[in-house]
Amino acid sequence: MIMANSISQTANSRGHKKYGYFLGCVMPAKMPWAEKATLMISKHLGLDFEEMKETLCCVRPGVWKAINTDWWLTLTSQNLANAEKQGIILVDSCNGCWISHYETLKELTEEPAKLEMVNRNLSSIGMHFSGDLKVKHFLEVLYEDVGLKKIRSNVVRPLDGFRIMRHIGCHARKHGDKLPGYFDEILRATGVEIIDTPYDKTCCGLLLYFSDPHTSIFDRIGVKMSTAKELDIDAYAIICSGCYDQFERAVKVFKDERGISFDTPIVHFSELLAIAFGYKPDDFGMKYCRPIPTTKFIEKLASKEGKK
Amino acid sequence: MVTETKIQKNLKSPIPVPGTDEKVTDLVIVHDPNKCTGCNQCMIGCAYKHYKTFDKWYGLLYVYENPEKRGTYVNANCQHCVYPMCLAACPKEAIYKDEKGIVRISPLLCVGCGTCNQACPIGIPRLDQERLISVKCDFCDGEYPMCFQMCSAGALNLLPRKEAYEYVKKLRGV
Repeated sequence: MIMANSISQTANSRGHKKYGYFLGCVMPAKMPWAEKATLMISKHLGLDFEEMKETLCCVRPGVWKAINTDWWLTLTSQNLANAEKQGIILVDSCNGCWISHYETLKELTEEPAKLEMVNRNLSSIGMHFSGDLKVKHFLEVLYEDVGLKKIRSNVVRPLDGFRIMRHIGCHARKHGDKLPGYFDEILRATGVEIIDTPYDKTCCGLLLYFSDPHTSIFDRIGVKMSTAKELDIDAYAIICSGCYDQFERAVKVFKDERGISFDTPIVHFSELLAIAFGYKPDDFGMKYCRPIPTTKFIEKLASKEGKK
Repeated sequence: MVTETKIQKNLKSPIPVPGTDEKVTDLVIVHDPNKCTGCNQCMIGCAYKHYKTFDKWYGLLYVYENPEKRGTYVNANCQHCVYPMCLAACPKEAIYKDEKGIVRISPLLCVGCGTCNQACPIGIPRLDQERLISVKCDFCDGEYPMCFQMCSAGALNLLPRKEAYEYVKKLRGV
């Protein structure tokens, strides 16, 4: 434990920020392009940014908090204890992972009795958490630690002419308008035109899926994707892996059950940044492993390049 | 008259909330439709807390899409009124306000007639289809309500009644 603290304090005292990126469950399984693009843009912006090692499930608060808050805190704190040991700033881009880590850290640092309870449980597997950790959303890292100015200066291929809709997800809205604001500003820095719709705020339905699948698919994603189709936009930008999981599932259900195909590609925020920074779609495998092909998007990009 | 005496009696003994100057009777849940994303986590959390199921329809509060404004959601949750209409309307005197100020339905006295549902301005009490009695929010026995804890976008607020009134007035632009 003493060693873990000393590593962390050394990192802080040097003023050097070392980030550990928590991938979560969905990203490695379904979004390899997002994982690659996120790591690429982070390196491009000069961040000491690597995938976090020794991770477990974030332990989704939406389920576990209701079942037993103490279990949720204990299970989540394993990731926090590992991050503390590694002397990193824990970074999440999935809102579910972020809120789980962020709120656990908040509860444990504000309430000593809960920290004591967690450490009692962690001691049975030889772990300890002292609370010396920072948890950040990837948007906070980009906006606060890198800065919009630096991001703009790295844009060499502005995506002007691309019309997108965006979905940031529920948990990112929980602590005010900060994260939705960062999301929009960074997206605009890439040059895209953001199209506002009445359904921008609407939940993707992931949290509701196991309770009411019909509403979750048809009344949440359905309205979003239908609006995207009506407006003929180029891409739907998301940042949360949990939301992506739900978008992907819903698109398949629509096709199988109703024979409706949506052709608006769902792209990760980092992919748009990577393209704007000059990377090619093939550099991060943009066309692979996608239920909705990104072919049209890539072709538009190529034709825009060709015109220059 | 009986009802009025009961309310007056119970309102004399509100219980203080530890660490604050508030009393449990003073706290109410207020929904901000500008923040709600319609994720239904409040309903799911409530359902699990009271019925140990994730079927949201077992929840004791309700979230609906606002038919007048697409993409926004309205919520109906018990306000544990100072003078509850459900309590006044119950023909079996099965509804009472307990020492914490929580409006409750006695499962032993309730006959499931549904009068409380009709009397409540927002139709909060509902019929429990298995037990055939009316059920409603019990404010999670005065702990932090599960709906408030589960809200994923911070749309549910736990506020003293006076502040809640001002908050709602502000939301409505009154």
